[in-house]
Amino acid sequence: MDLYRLFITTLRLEALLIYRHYSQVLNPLLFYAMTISLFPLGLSPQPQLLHAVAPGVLWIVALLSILLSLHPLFEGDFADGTLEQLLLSPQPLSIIILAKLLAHWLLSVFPLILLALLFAPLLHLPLAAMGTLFASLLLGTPVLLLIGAIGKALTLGIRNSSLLVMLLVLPFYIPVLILGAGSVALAGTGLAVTGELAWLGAMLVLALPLAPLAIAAALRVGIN
Amino acid sequence: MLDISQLSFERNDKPIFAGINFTLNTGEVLQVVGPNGAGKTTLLRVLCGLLTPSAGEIRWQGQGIHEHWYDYVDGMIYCSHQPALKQGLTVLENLRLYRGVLRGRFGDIRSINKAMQRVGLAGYENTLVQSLSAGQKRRVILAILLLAKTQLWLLDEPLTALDQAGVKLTETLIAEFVAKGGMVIFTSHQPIDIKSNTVFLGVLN
Amino acid sequence: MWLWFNKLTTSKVFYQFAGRLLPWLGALTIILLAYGLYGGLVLAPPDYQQGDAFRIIYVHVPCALLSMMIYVFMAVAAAVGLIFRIKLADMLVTASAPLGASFTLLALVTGSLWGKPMWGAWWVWDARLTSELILLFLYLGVIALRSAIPDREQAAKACAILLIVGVINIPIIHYSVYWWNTLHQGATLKLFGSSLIAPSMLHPLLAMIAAFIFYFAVVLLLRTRCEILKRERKSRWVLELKN
Repeated sequence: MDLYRLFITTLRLEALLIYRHYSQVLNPLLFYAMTISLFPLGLSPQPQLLHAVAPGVLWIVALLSILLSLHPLFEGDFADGTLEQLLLSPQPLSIIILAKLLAHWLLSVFPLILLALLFAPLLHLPLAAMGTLFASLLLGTPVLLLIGAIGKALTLGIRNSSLLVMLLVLPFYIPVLILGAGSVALAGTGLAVTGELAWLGAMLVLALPLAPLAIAAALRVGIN
Repeated sequence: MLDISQLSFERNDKPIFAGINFTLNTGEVLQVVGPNGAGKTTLLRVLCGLLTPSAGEIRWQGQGIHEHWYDYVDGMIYCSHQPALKQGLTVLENLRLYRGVLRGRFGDIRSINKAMQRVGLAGYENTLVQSLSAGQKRRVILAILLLAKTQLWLLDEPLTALDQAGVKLTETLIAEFVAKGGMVIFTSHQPIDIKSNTVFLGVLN
Repeated sequence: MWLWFNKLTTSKVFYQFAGRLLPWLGALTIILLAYGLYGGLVLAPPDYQQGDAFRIIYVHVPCALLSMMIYVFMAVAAAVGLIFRIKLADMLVTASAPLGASFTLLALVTGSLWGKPMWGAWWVWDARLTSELILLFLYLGVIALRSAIPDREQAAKACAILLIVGVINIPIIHYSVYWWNTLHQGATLKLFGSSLIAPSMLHPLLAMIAAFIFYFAVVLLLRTRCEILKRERKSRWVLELKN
């Protein structure tokens, strides 16, 4: 019960902080909308072509937007010294980290999923694949966020670290991208995708308990 | 009781300090003095456990702090030289952050009100921390110190940015705390006026 | 045993131990390399399908194998270093990273050289090659993180965490890439069929693999000795060594 209260308090305060600096959240969303619009302009507006690349494009740009949205994560805590207090807290750090990440996911990643659904018809993604797009993003984006947070925690305190975070994290994003985009593409051809979604779910189940441990360890190392 | 023996810390093979020994008993205050760059802040960060010493031991109530980590952090509070407060939250929300997230034990809402009065911040409960002055932020930290039920305070430059009344208040709070059996280690360039014969000076150079 | 292990991990003892081991390892490398090259390039018959082009396996396969082995080696060393606070472990990791990256790069280059006559293109998104490419990115990430953190101990710990996360993820990456490959009907031509490989081809290959492993050990020890001298340049025994 105590852990539950800790989780809720952290979630509420973190959400409040994100909400009060909402411009930081809006920028990755704007990036998503603009970059998606570049593809018809850069490739061709032909429906058949867009139809073929839509699953990959929708997923890749979502992945990049999440990478961009990682920047404020732990950065404020590091700058104002509350991260030190977090590390010296008698409370379990993993729970605090999970609550923070959930706040981040709810306020800045979930809108991204909605945006992806909005832009999918513009890239002529078949209606049959919409459900899979939603489900795959719902299962895949938390994994991306959890892994990204490890990268962010490892590079805390390094100046101009955003590019470094991308270099560290992108290889780990590949399985999620393959399964996510692959499942949407399969769904577009009318095939069953429960297997792929189950794999994404398995990754989430694996990342949920393990990533906070790595993040906590990385944060302890970063404070130096 | 905090027991330090042969404590050394080095960074990239460069020694910051070496061979520090002391024992702090209940009711005692230790002021760490030394020129800029002597390693006062590093010493405090090693003492609170954020940094691991390269050699030596820190024992809290007879147990190594890294082996009995949760016992130690439960009984200790560390305040960095810059007040660790969330600029985007109000004073009350910051206190909630400390109560709910950072510290396990903390006063209830009545004692929060009392502490706010004590440090002269009554009426500022719903002000965003970013609109407080540097001295007022220090006072928020003082309120947190009052509310956190710990036995050891580790304070890094607690007097900076405070006006005379603020310095006086800090001195009174420290004196009251040690009178009740607390222990304080702090760094400061200013001499501190505490009517107690248990103040020790540690020189770092 | 534990005592012996503890003693070996002190820099001075390891330096001397490595120094004594090096000539033997070097000799083994040269012998194995000579046999492997002669056996592979001269004695082994040409492949009935691929002709002489198959002979690149005598470089490609050991490189690919080592690229994966070194990553696992680094992760294990880093984990040991992190848990038992052994500085030597970090030196081994630091020395291994560029080696691992080089072997990965060599595996990629030899793979694409082989791909040209087989596939008619320098690069094909084959599952094996793609996995190697991702592995190269993983190596470069470790090297980049290491060089971005000025504090040595902090850099060592951060790299250790990254390596442990990486080693957990490598199988996941590997299998997802294979799944992706079947999904998109990629190249089906394989360097190794599932068919048996003739002993006259296999023995030189095994010798080459062993030679590459010993070569890695030689270079690793040389680089670690160098790093020990650099880090301990002010200690008495290093100064005595100089005189």
